[in-house]
Amino acid sequence: MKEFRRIVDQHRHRVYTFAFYSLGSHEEAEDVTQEVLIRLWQNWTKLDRRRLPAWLSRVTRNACVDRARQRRAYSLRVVAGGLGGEMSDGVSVEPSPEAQAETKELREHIRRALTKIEEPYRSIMILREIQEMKYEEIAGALDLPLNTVKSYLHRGRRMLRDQLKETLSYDRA
Amino acid sequence: MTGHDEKTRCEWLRDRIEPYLDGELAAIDTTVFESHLGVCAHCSEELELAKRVLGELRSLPAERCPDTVTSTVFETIGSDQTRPTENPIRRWLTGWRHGQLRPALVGLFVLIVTVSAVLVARHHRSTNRITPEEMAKAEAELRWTLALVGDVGRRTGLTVRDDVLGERVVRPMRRAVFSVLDGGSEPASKNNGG
Repeated sequence: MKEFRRIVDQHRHRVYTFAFYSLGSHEEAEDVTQEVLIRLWQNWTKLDRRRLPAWLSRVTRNACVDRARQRRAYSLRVVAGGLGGEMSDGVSVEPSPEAQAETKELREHIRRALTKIEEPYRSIMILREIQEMKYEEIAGALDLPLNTVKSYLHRGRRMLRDQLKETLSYDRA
Repeated sequence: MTGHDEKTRCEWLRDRIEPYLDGELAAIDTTVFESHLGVCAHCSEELELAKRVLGELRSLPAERCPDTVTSTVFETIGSDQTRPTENPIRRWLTGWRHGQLRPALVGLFVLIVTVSAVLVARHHRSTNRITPEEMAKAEAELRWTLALVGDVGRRTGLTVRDDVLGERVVRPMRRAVFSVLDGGSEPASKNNGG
């Protein structure tokens, strides 16, 4: 049990971050994190500790996909419901209040646009660009060939940019 | 360059923005990519947007999982009776399957083999001492065997010379030599005696 608590403390923020950016909601990220940690406990004796990060990434991603399926219009609700003010600030350079506000707004748009990207592009972007996992680790976690991960990442980023352009032009119209 | 070519070049560039940003574009493609940027404001804007979006995506902060989540998990599993108890045999087998016990077991195996080899060698040395009489007898047997092998070899050589070489090589050559020397046949005694 002590070892389990240590592992939970080590990995819970990672699981939570993935779920938050995948689903776009703190409440649902909490539910998914609880679900994943309980599954971790249920499989505790069977798990290979060396493959734990990959196992957690795979189970978290599957839990997010299942949850997204359960609520079909979840991304629309997230955009309509508004989550402004929930994002924490990670800005290190603050040139001016206007630029800072613009950056914050862009990040919020990016975060929302991310929830609209299809799987597995969204998961790959979160794992690679936000959680800084290696290509090999992502390939292992999602059971995809290495080159497929790379090409999906590039395709996903382009989809995100197109989604963002659409959102921004819609906002300005 | 025509408008169609320009459009094609723009599409080509947009397909390569992401590899370009990751530094994965081939050198020759990078040259073409950058030269097009110099003449196409639209593609330059697209690249700037891609850079900005990627930069912001990468700087999205890691979220902190609230403590209430883990406390709920610990409460749930504290009352959970469904989880299988840890069977020591199953634990051992799991450890073996996952390779955690393998180095120790391989080490134990090597140790057993080494100790066994040392014990067998020691036993062999103590039980197989050769006496001088046995050594003399072995030397005599070896000499006799070598002499027999030598005699058989010598007899075989003579038989081959007389039966094979004599008929096919020695006699024809001798006939040829005599016919050259005195134009006659070789001596009758030699013909009959061979």
